[in-house]
Amino acid sequence: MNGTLKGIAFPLLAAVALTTQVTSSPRERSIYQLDSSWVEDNGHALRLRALEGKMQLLALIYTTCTGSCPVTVKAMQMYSRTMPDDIKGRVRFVLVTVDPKQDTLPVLREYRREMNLEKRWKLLRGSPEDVRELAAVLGFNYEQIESGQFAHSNLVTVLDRHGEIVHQQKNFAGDNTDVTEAIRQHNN
Amino acid sequence: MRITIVASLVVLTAICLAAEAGPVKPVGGACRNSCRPHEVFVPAGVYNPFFKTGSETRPVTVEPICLSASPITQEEFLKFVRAHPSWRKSRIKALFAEDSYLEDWRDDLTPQSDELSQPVTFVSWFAAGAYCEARGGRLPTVAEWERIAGGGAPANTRDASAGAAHRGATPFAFAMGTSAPELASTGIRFPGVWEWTANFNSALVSGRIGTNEGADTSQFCGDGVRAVDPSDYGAFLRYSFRSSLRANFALKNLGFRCAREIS
Repeated sequence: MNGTLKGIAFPLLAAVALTTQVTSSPRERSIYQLDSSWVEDNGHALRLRALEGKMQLLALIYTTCTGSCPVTVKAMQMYSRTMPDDIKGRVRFVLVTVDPKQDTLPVLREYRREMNLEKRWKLLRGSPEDVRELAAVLGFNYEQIESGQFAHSNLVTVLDRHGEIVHQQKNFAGDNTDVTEAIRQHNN
Repeated sequence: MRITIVASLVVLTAICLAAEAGPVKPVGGACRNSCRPHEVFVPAGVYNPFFKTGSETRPVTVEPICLSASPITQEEFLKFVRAHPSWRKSRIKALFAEDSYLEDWRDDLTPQSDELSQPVTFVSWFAAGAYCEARGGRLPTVAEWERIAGGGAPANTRDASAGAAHRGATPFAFAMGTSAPELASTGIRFPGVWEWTANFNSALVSGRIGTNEGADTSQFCGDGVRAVDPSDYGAFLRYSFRSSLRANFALKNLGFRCAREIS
């Protein structure tokens, strides 16, 4: 056994650990420390810090995705529909496009209409560098594979109201138990 | 506006090409000259990705860049944290680097004195990116890095690795970069550390590479990825390693170098 091999094995384990639960002092791990700037589909500029105060369910998608993105968004809609009333008002839904080139603001607005996304859903567009950085923080991998399509992780991240990752959902086959439980636990 | 930019690029490219082909030495041309002393000029080229999607490989064109000739050293990084206190180990936020950040430094401004010229390691992706940005550059992309350094895996990697371990050298050094033949005379060095790339989080590798079964279909969208050349053990190691990283990791064998676009 040698250092290099450990160097490979350790991050694998750590990555697994990170996906389940992140415990730390507040704000040290807040993704709102990222200095990136975004534009909502309605044209309003937004800094991530502006999301502070509410919990978020956040996912990276792109609108021309025919594979799993619609499943991800549908799952988030299901979480939204079935969320207990006591926490419903404290959660916001955020979709960030990984394909800012194709997903212009009009395209995002059309997507909102098509997917029937309510007002409390935010659709964000940013520079490729800022998307790459946000993805890196979330542990979301993606790469353009052929014209218009991306290979990417499937991931819904739950952020507490300080912007810290409290849960990451990678499997959308089940019900809303895990997500709801994470929200309930960290909703304070 | 766009036309102007495109036209400028064409002109610049023409100048570069003319300079590259030109007989005048040691000037070397406008493009080569725009690189700094510790950088090497990397001409435009084509990178053939390690992975193919579907049935075909898709070569990626890479633009000319200036690239650090060696990974950034402890000494260079020390200058950076002197000038940018928020990147000192006592001040770094957990989001940007885990606890092991600069673990081998005695304190904020004290690397091991006998290692000043060695590559800085225990640095996160954020810290590496911030360093490059402060120097007017960025981290190289996977395509840029692989195209420059991805060649040259020994024919029998098992023997090479065992031999290196036996001699006390870094195991897997063969996978940590070997200069492309065209750059071999530039002084570019790969002293045996893994290196961060700008888009390290692009590969979707889980488990085995070489078959479609490698892709975890419950976690990833898109066609399964397959190695173009499954015998390229070095590339396999690099892609596996990158895909296991998170942006705040600070590891003993992981350093970085910077790229600068040629304006």
